[in-house]
Amino acid sequence: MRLRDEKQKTGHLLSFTSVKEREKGFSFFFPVEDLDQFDSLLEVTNGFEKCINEHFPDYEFTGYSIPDLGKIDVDFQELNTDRISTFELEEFLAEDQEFIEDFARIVIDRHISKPRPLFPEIVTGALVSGGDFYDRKDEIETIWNGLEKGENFLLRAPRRYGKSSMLKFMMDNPREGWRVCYADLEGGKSAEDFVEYILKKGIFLQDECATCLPDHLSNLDIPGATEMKKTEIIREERQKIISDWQAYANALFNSIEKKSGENNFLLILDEISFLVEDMINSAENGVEATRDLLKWFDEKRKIYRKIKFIISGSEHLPEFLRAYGIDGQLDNLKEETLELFDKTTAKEYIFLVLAGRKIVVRNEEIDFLMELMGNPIPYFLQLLLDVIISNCHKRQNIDLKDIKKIYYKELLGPDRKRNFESIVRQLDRYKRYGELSGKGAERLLDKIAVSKRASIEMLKAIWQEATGSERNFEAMVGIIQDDFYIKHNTDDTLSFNSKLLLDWWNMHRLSTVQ
Amino acid sequence: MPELSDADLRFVLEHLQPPFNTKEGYRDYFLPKIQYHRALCTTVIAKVKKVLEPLKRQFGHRFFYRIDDSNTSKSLESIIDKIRRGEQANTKNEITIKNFAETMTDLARFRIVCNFLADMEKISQALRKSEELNEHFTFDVKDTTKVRPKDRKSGERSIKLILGYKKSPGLFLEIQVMTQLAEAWDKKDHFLVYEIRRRAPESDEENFPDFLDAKMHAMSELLNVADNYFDDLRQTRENALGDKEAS
Repeated sequence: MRLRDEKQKTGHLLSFTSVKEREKGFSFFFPVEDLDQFDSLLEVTNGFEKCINEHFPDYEFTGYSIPDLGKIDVDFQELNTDRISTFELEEFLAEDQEFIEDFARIVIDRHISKPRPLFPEIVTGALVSGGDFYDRKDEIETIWNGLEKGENFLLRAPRRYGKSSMLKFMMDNPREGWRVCYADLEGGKSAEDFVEYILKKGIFLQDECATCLPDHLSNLDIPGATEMKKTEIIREERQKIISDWQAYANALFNSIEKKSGENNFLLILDEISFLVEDMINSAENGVEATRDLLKWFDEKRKIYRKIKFIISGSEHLPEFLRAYGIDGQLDNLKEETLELFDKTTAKEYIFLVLAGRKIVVRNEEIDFLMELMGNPIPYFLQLLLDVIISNCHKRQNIDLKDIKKIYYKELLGPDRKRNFESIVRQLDRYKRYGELSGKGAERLLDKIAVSKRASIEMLKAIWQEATGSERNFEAMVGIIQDDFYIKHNTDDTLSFNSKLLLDWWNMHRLSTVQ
Repeated sequence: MPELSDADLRFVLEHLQPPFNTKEGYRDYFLPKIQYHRALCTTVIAKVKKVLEPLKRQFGHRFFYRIDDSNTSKSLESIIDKIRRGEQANTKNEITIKNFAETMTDLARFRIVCNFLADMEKISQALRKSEELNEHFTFDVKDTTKVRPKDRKSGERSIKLILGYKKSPGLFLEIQVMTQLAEAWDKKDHFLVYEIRRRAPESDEENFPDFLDAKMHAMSELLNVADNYFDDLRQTRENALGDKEAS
């Protein structure tokens, strides 16, 4: 893989023109240096033409020979010269010189739909939005269709699969007739927090939702209020919530239902797993309080016609609750699971990210990246691409040997330790299940890493030895499945579902367990 | 995009098979067939720039040449018109709707516009002598700068190099080498005379009652005189500079 040569100004321009709206046109410029590129150019030209004919019938396609791209404004006045993207022929050709239609389709699609940014960028750790948010069209469609039929959803996926980014995308791009409110419940430890966070981290932050608040709040012009004023209001409301959270929540939901008018109101409650875990562990009656909250919430969801809910949490939330004897409170939610990118989508994503950073990547290099990291967990994929991009920009050119070295020495090396801190921090979080739970979890992960596939029976014995009892074993297994991408196999064994995390664990954590 | 004349449209509707025999569909018959020519044109432009690089460096102190990309492929309308006129002429026509992509030698072309008449010759020679170009192409040369008045049908003055791609027989490309003044004349003539005559070749009396065609012909002669004079001036200047350097 190497940096694209954008100094070469002689080449071939493929121009795509919308039959209906000519101003929507765009072009791809392919630098050409010599005669020996004739076959490649022909393959790419024919490939794009076929792709346009099959997938984008509203567009016409023309090829131009360009002696000097710098003068294209003068020579081709009919073209929309503001929308020319440069690629190299090699980016669309596999090792056998066959055209890669998937890549062509995806770049044309993005030039037509014009997301901002045009090419997704690396956003490690933070929520991705706009053009950086990638794919998940099918899941979003399924959820909207279900919501319109009156269903509420439980969205499940392990950490860093992109749940929150998808939910934020839904908030920013609502279907017609929907108002969407997103509230992050992480940090909450009680039913009172549950209600307060909906207010504080949800409705108060979204101007168009504030009109649905109960009168005493909607009259206050919350969108126009200063932060200090908002804090003061929240403080006052918290007192009311503490005195009777159910009554307060009933009044709040009733108001939303009543004031939604012709619209529907979608309330997205993200990170409910964290709230539930913290509730269970932060008070003596945590389990009962959690059961009461979920039961009440279950009843409420049946009542409202205009308010619909998406509750988002970890993949193993139901099993986790069951381990504490809390069962059936989420049953009336339609389940939607966020899977990993499939291979094609992951390859397209890698291609687009690198293309956006002016890097020419060969198909076999993309395959090698995927082989190195294993399953394409979005967060890890971004970490890998980040380190690859910075190396390529530094060195201009890197080969497969370099990529391997970068993966093991840099990405998994000490300099990138900070990228894995949030994962390691989870081990401290486990102490809430008993002082020795962190160590117990670490021993489980060690065993899984060493054995590649470790039987549940064996792991239970290790847990018992490490913590002194079998208590919380099931809950912990559920939690590490989410936090460390551990897969429960059909033969009742556990294994790492992320090669990258397994490699990292083997390099950094294995020897630290006492 | 330009539209077909009524005669050309009737021609394609009659001669093409479904689904191409419609006003909307004929382009889909022709365009894929000239994709090869367009790709070849781009790669040859890249190669020609490399071949001419030493000359460009040698004459870097003044304008030497530029490549004109405004007409690198023959328009569909011209292609169809040429096929129709050939077929209707009732002669043994070599260019047909079926074989046009292999028989028309100017489906892909580009122009090298030079400063002086002598530059035309230098460029034409450099291309013809290029080992790499000769390895891949056959050469056919049509030099309209040296046509006697009795044989001259148009005022055009250029050296046309017709390259046949050896790897793919029947795939041609035309490089036109001409001076800036000859190009200026050609661009005006194309609009004032050529296009009109192409559509109705037998109607010069009706189309040019003011003898516009004859006037354009005269302009070509005039500009050729100017080109020759400029070339003399260049020669004189270069000789003087050469003497100075020698002394």
